[in-house]
Amino acid sequence: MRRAGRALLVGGVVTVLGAAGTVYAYAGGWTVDGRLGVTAKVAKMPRGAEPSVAAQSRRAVVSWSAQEIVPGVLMDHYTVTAHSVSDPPAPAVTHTVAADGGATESVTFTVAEVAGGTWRWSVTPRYLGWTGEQSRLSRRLTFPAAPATKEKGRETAPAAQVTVTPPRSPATTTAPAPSPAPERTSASPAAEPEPETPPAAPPVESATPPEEPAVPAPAG
Amino acid sequence: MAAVAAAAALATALVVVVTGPEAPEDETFVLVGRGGGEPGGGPLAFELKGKPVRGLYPGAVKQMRITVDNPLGYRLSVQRLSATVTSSSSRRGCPATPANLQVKEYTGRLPAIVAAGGRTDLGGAIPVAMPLGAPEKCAGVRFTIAISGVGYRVAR
Repeated sequence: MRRAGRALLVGGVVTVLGAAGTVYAYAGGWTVDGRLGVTAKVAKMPRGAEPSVAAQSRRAVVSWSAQEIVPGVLMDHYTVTAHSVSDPPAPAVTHTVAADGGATESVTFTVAEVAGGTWRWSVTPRYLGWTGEQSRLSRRLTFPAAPATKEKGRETAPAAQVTVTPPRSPATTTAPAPSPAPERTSASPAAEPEPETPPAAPPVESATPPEEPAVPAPAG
Repeated sequence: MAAVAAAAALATALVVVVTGPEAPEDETFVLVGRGGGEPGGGPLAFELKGKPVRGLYPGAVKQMRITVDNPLGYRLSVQRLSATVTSSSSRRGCPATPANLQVKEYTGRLPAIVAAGGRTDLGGAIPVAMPLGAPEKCAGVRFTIAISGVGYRVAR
């Protein structure tokens, strides 16, 4: 009797559950819930674009193609570093350049920064504090030693040139020197102290130095 | 007998929900769930599709669009959609925290009705945002976003 009662109870429970499930299903009450993953990937910072360099009026004009972290989103800053390949090497000179939003960016290193040395340049892209990989080094440029004290005014070249190929201005000893800072430099220009006068500057009496003193050297 | 079959189907469905198949990381297919057996037999299921989000960067907000596939023979009402960042990322230096990645509420209107055997591109999206202060170690990292949804079979 007890056995029959137990069977009846189990059967009843199963029947009730099944009937309830069926009614629920027909009433549209099934809910489905689950979760699986979709990936979200963060962009990588690109390697810097190898810059091109040109000597102009004893200064170095460095230019490079603007870069994006993702299509349509340009870098906001670039770190441009002049690496000395002289012997003995001079301290590296670094400028942080705020991007201007154009397709090409550029910065000028002053006479005081590059005189008397041979240099190669690199560019490192930055975006909101993220830093990409440093670019390959540019070709090298060699600059003669800076002129004597009476030409110091020229060493602090005018900050009017912002492009790679502006008209070449004639050499002069009376050029205005409004600022010793390079163009489009938005932060402290160098980790190393910027020399007031190049260390190896021999006295020069001539007031008319060569118009294009920088000598490109083969890359190496 | 039919009732027993229905109950069995429900039990099976629950097991599937708990141990549902894992999707490869880059699959665009997201299986949301199997909710039980329809009275005539066969599973009750619907599927969500969402494309992986790429190209995140500090300050970026990407919209994850969702498509609902309803292979069933009757209409489906999608009632809720939600998403969360799972607790792991592909790099220890960039943990899956709100400081590094945030997933917002679904922006569209719900419920959304999906026709029997039909497919619907939902009007809204799930925003996936990387805060401005996300650290540099997050560059190139891969996060996983868990999507969950609840739907009802629309009554006849």
